[in-house]
Amino acid sequence: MRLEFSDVAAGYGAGPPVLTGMSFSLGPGLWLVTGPNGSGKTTLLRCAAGILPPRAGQVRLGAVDAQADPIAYRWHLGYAPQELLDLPETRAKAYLTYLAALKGVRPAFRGKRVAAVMDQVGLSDGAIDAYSTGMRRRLVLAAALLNDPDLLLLDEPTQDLDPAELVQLRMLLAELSADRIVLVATNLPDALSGGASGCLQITAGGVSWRGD
Amino acid sequence: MTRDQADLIRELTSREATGGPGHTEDAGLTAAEAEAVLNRLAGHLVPQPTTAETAALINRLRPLLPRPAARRFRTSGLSREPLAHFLRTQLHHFRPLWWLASLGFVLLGLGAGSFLADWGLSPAVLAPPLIIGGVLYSFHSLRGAALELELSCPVTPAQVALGRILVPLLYCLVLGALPVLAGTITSGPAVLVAPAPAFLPSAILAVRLFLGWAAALFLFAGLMLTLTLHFGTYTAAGLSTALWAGLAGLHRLPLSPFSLSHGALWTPLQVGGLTAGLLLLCAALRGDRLRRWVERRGR
Repeated sequence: MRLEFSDVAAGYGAGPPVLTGMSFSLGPGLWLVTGPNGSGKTTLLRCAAGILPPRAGQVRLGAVDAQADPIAYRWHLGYAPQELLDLPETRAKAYLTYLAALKGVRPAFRGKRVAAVMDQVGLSDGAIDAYSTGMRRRLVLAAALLNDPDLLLLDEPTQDLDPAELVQLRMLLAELSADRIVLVATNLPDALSGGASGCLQITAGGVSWRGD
Repeated sequence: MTRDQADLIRELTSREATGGPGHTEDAGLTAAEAEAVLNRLAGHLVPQPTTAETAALINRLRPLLPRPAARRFRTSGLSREPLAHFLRTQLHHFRPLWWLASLGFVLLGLGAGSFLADWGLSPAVLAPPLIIGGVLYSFHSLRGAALELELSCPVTPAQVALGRILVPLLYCLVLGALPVLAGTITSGPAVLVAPAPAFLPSAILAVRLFLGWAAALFLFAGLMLTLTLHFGTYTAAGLSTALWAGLAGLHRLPLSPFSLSHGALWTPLQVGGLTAGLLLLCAALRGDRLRRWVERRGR
């Protein structure tokens, strides 16, 4: 399965496009998206997550077109946004169970699956507003993993992590990228470059350099 | 002696025989000396691991190596019908406190029924604050990362928005039936009997009261959703509350939705309010409207 962007243009509201004619094709592996702030990394990931429909061009995952069949497309993906969850009076396990239901995890599997992803990211249950920023970062990662996605999109996953958490994240990404596409937007590519299959440098809304 | 060592000794001793311009320091060794030197060197070298030792080392390190993820879960743990439980999953957002507070508000209104009637207010005046509070409670957490996470699930933005508003809407509708039922069964509270002409059967009165309640509920639900998608939940709640207060203040007008005096145009007006509410809900859930909402909230 490959993620393909074909001449994708995208932006917010009536504003100027953030992505302009972006094209690339990625196979399974760990891919880093780097670039200066405002270059379009987050917009690229939102487009790939099907949250921000492109103004022009096509986003495809294998044979599934993100615009023509958005539900089938989202079925395959897991997305961890850059922003952290701010949900007062909500416990992590309850929230993940709710998301698992939205992601189509069968009721009989939900409890086990939530426990498995929490274990995978090294998180124990607790009130989300009592979590540290590093724990909240791991919580959005756990949310992205709930449906065992074919395409995993992580926006700045290294932010707020301490060195030990960073090592765990590296190992987890190495494990996950063995048989799926993991696309990571980051300002700190050095932290994850060890196991990366390649890197896309984004400048002014387009891929200015690609290294495999 | 290994075969490599024997070759090396042969090479070193053969240089002794040739001598000449290529003569070096080590060329003066006899075969026995060379063997002794090599044996001593072998004692200082790190021993080459055997195949079994290498395998044992790999086995010890294996837990630390990155492993391919077990992908069995995708094939067995996912169901292609997440919408079957969609509405039920929305209940997650509503804490017991909200259910109880809403019920308490209606019971309080029921208790204050005669007071409302004295002021010429219909029980429908309680519906807007109830649904405004419900939508505010339901949507206030749907922002930032939570919104992005939900929208990356295999559901449409319309389903996300509809799911959030449906629970408070249905609950408020059921709550509206409480004072109506209580009134028709017991013919008790003055609020229910006050506007009734003497010839009107209590069942028809109940339907009219419920129609008034439902019209106010749907109108303000549609308004809240539309304003929420445009301006955010708190601004929407503020604007809707201001409109509710204004309409309640004008209740002495015969056509006010909260007036007790049921003129000839009262029923068509309530049906109109109900229809307008439904249209507002449908318009708010249109794809392009939601797309702008997603873009604005996600920016």
